[in-house]
Amino acid sequence: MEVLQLAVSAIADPVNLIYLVIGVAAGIVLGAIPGLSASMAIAMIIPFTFMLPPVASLIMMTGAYKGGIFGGSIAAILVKAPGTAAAVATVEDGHALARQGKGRKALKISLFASAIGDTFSDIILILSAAQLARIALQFGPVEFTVIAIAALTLVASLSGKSLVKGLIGASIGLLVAMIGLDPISGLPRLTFGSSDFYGGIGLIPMLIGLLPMAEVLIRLEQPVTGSKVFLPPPRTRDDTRVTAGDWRRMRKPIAAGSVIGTIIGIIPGMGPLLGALLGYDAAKRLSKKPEEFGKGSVEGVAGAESGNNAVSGANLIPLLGLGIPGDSEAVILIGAFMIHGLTPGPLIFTENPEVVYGLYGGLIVANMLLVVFGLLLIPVFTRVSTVPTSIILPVVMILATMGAYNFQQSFFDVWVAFAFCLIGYTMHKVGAPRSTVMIGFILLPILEDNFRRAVLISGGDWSVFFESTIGNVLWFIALAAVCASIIGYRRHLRSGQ
Amino acid sequence: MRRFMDFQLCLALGLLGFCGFLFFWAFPRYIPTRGGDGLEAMLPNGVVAFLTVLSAVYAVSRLRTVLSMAGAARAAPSDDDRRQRRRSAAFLIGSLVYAGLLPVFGYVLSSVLLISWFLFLMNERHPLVFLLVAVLPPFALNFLLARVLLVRFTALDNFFAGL
Repeated sequence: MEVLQLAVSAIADPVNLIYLVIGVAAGIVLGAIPGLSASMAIAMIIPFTFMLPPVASLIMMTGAYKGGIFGGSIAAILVKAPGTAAAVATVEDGHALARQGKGRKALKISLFASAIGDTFSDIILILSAAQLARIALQFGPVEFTVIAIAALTLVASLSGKSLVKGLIGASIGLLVAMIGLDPISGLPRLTFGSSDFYGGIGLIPMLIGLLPMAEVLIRLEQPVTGSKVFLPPPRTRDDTRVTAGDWRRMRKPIAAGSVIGTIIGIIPGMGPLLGALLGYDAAKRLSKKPEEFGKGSVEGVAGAESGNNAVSGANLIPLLGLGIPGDSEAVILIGAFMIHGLTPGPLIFTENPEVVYGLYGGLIVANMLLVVFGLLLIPVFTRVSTVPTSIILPVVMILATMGAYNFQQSFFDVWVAFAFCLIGYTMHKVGAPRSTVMIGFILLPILEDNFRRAVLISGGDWSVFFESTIGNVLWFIALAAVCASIIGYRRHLRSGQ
Repeated sequence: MRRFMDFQLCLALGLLGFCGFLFFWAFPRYIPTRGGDGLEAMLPNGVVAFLTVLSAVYAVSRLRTVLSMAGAARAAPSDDDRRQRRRSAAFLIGSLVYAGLLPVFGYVLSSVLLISWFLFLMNERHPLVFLLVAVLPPFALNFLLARVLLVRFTALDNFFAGL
């Protein structure tokens, strides 16, 4: 009851509601721009939230996250250029529907499927994160060290075609996170004699450089054109709305996509793309007309969209319960918590319950806003997908530069962002995933703090890592995660995908 | 020699050099080894050792790729290959200008102007004021700059496409 009260009071606050509205709208607009992902949308919004109270800030960013994932489908459906990677599965069927004059119907299907998938996974989050945190409260430094090591296996699933390049990215992230004051002795480490490095490298400038700024350079290589695609007008009224027949066809794919996406979201490292692909696959298997898939299937759009959006809520379960990011978007959300002096993990439920439950309220209301915005403003958002890059890129660059500066009102952070922009661009050029740097950066403090505390408490006895039962169980899980990652990676290579 | 000049190979070797720089120059100076729990240097050394191994693996695998590519090029050199190589070189130079230098001028200039705005508004940091006052004027300027620069990029792109 108290939980409900906290959630309602947070979301009933008009200031929070306004920021949620801004977050959802900004997320949809940024997600709809081809090439900008949901994580970039959050990275660009973070700088505007520094001065906000924690609840408003987190609500705004989760709204942007949800809006960003839905926004990706707008560009996918209308211009066949997925705004986010997660919208890849929506491209074929969504755009085929648009080519039949059913673009608005496809967008509405995507909207409803996204909102339902999202709400389902949020409910699972609300029911399970606190339980997970309760278990995690029994964990000590040993257990958290093992969890951090297991979480590093995320890198394998994010590595794409080359595990070596992924691991190099993660090592660079670990190394960069070491800059600053030593967490135990307080002595300066890797500061090269410069006082600017004493506070360490900020997560926000690094994110801004790696994601939106590097993306601007990458997109500059492509010809400067607006995406102009001729789409036929609707022939009947049913071409613009979701009919009762469509709802009947969508029921099973949405249910399957929601469950699959939620499961994928709980497992660190899987991400919304896999949720979308598996949701699409499940929809095809359940369909009575599988031959329609790829040619404009209502079920295909519904399965893929519910699958990718259901990942977003479930992703917060390991984040809030254990303090471990589920994917690159969750890494950015950890940054959002950190800039407000909050540490996600089991203690947040007892130390800052108003933040967690306010966030829960925000998540549910964000889904409703997504539907309202989507239905009312689809024509406006669709225009975003066709805005020429000559307008989009400078806007992104200027927002990014401003965000980096605004982090601590420091030029140093602007240079950090520029440096990571070059690193991100180089990584893109050699086919190394940029998200692995972020994973390494976020996990180092958790790993180092707990590892050193464990060794200090045990008086230098390393066998402490294998003495507790929970620790041993977690070692087994970590080992299994490493093996599963390597096997999955090899299979992925062999399949040539 | 030119056929062994591969960007990824250079990058891998650069990473190896960077690891050497950290091990032999930076760590002895900038890693505290006293006053703590004795583990201060362990994690940084471990990470860099790991990075060294990865860079070596990357360099070796890339060298093998480059060697096989060089072998293939030697086996069947043709006019088309040479033309392709010249086109690649021209494209590389063009890309550097296209994706690197020109935007830097435009964006650095606009960023400097933007930051001047920040300094001016340092005491007024409410987000809404920020959005309305600090962001809009530099936006306008950026649109102008970017339109001029990006139009030129298009011309460059067409130029390279026609090569």
